[in-house]
Amino acid sequence: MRWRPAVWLWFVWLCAAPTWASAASYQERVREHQLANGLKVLLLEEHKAPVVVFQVWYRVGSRNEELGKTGLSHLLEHLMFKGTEKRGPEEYSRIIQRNGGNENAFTDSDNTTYFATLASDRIEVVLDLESDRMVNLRFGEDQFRPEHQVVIEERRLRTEDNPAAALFELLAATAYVAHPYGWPIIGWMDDLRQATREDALAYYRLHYAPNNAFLVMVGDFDSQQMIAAVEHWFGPLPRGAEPPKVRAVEPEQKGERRALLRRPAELPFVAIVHHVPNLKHPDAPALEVLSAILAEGKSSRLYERLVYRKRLARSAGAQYDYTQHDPGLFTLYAQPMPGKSAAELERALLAEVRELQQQPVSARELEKAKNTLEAGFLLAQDSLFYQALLLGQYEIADRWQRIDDYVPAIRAVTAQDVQRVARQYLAADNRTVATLEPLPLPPGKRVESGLPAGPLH
Amino acid sequence: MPCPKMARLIAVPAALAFFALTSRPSAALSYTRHVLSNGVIVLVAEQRAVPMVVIQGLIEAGSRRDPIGKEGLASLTADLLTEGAGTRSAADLSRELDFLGARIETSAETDYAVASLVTLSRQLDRALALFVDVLTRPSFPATEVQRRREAALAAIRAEQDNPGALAQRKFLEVVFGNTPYGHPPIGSAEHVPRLERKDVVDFYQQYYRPNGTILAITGDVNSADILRRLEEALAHWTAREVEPFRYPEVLPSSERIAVIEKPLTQANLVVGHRGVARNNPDFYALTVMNFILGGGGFTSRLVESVRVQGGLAYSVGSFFTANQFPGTFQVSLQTKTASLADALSRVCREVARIRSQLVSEEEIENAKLYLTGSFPLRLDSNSKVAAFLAQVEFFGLGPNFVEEYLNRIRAVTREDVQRVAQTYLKPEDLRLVVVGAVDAASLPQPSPCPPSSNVP
Repeated sequence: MRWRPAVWLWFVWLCAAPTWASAASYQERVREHQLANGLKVLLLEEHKAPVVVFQVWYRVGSRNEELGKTGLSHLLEHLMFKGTEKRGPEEYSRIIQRNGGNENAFTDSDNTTYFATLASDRIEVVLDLESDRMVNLRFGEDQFRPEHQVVIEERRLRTEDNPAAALFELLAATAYVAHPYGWPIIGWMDDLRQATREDALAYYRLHYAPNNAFLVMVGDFDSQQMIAAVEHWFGPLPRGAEPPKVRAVEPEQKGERRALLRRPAELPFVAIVHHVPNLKHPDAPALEVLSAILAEGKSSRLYERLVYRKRLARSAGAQYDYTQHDPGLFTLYAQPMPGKSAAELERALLAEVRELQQQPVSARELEKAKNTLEAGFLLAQDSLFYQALLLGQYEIADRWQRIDDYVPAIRAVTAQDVQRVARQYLAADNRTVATLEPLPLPPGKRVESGLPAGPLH
Repeated sequence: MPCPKMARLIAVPAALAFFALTSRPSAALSYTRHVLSNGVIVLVAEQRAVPMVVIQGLIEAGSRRDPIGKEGLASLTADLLTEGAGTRSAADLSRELDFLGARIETSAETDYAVASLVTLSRQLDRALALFVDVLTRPSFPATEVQRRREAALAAIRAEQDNPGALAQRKFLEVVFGNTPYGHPPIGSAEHVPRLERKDVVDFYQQYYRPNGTILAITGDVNSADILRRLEEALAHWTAREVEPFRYPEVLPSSERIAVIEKPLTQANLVVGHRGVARNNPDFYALTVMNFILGGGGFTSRLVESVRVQGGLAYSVGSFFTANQFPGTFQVSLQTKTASLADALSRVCREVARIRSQLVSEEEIENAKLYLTGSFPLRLDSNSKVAAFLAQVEFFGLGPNFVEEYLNRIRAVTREDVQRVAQTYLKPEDLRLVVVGAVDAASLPQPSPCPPSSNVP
């Protein structure tokens, strides 16, 4: 890399500067409370705005599903808005809205999370609604049928008609042979089509209970009062049976795997994954730093070299699944510039991997990567929602207290650590490569639109 | 990115554009307004909770200023601000910013260009120096112009894999024709190759000027201190006059229905027409009306009919893009190809119904409770506050905007809702764009919502 003298001095000065200012630790700021029925509550007071973010995290996601019934976690997430014994369909949303709140939910491989943001004086509304639907969900076939179709439309929108998303789906399915992370969170289309109301309700009864969930609240409240309110609304709920544990373990990969997706698309795409440990393993911080060296900011290696200097890629990136419950993937991906091929991009991505395996990164580049990660961690605290999300993700993956280890662990990573994890985990035998090969659009292939031909009057 | 979470509803990006304009501050929001000696307007809200600073800069240099035949110039210029500035090359700038852990982002919207800075407050000195260079001393190296032009062309090409973007591009063209809001800021495959370095330099010289710039600053700063520093750092930037922007006459397009054929499983539909300007006095009644029709999250009439009852679409909504000049009113949804007729007729029915019948007491009450009660949520972070303040200033909404917004929303009646629906929703003017495996000949002619469907 070429550095100008002025810049060089600049960096020397910065490197010598004392460590970064950081806010008080999460362990000092978060209060944890456990109800007798097993429900855990994490409370973080943050009085900068008269707002509270409420999240309920269920420890169930696509990871807990089985083949033939994939997508049930996410389908159930949609159905959770269809009413309870005392509330009608969509009433949850209407009540939150009347109180000036926003609500939504998301499903991931390890969790299903429902959230609402409200002015602090309205927070009890959501405690009432969430405690109700934690155990009293009720909906009929009339509500199930259209919502089922909505989820199928969601899959069409997100995956069927999105070439890159379809490629990532195929990639995960190729990289995992035994673990449920191999199937898509939204589920395979045919599984989705066959899902029934009874499937969803059985899944609900199996996984939704106070002892398989926890609450996260961040914002403008008094923790003592909030604990009392949570005890009032959630305390009476009965503890449920322990849901079955996921036993699947992905066996060690021995040899590169490849997948090819040929479908109509404008531009090719290439993505490469490697099996890696998560934050429970001591190598996690080095993998996190490795991902920043590759892809954090416009001076990262993939951007600066593949996008900027060589003009091979329209976009390029890396992702490390730091907070997944079971070991996840380290991903490299790139979309070629028009006229460049997926094969060229694959070679360029793997050349970057090789360089990291063969040469230790410089002290400056290592420091820069750590700085981007630490600043990103601190700047994200601007958002109440993000802080709640962070607590939830760590609690799902391991324990929320481990958030405080993040910055010190990142700071402790050495150039040798980065080189070692690049060699150990980004090895060819641990690799799966997926390529999207665009096919030209088939001429004149049309589907009946349901519209009558000719003028409508 | 590889493993997206499945949310119950994807936020419709354009709907955010609408709500960005109607963002609701908490009554407690306090800030100060200053004008530097060269005309830069600076708004400062001190908020010490997080050791960070956000600057949101708006410059009256949006894509509406693109010369005809050079569509994409404002966007290319904004892109290039970070590709070399002051004494630093593009690569130097990127490295320094990354080393500081700070982010500078620049882009062009329709009415204005945006330059933003997010940094830890302890790095503010250095980050601010880079930000000032980016804004006032871009060098536009010829190789960078060529590179960003190629990148823009590649992005336009990649739209072919994004049916929503394709539909939106075509819709703007059908509604606005060759006028300034008629193209997305990025420009088109036809025009971008024509953009030269000289065009960029001229555009920058003409429109990037202190007396056309707003800087909204929030976070861990001292107001007097940041003003003194900005006055000094921006002293070299001299005020210039420029011809005020005037929106040319829009001639209605004769194209009522446009189909872009693609081998997709869903038909991506956009239906709408020209909308209103942000300063339209009916803006508040329209906000309530649109909330009931299709803007109100999971409870709007369009969601109820198309999604909850029909099971036809995952995402459906309506919105007005209220720019400085009349923008669009539009409804967008995606549905399996075979359901296109059903979904479209439901949209037509709801548009007709809100014009022909008064909304219920409960609906208007719910809409007003949400629009006023959710005020504090729009301002619970530094980033949100900075973006909000900059918009309030750009659109001239005034220092009492918070109160005024709340009062005017509360004052909207059921009759107001019907009146604005009748005035601003024009079934006979609707234009329809569909991207999908759809045969154009099978669509209703001559208009997307034929009068026969207008029976509530």
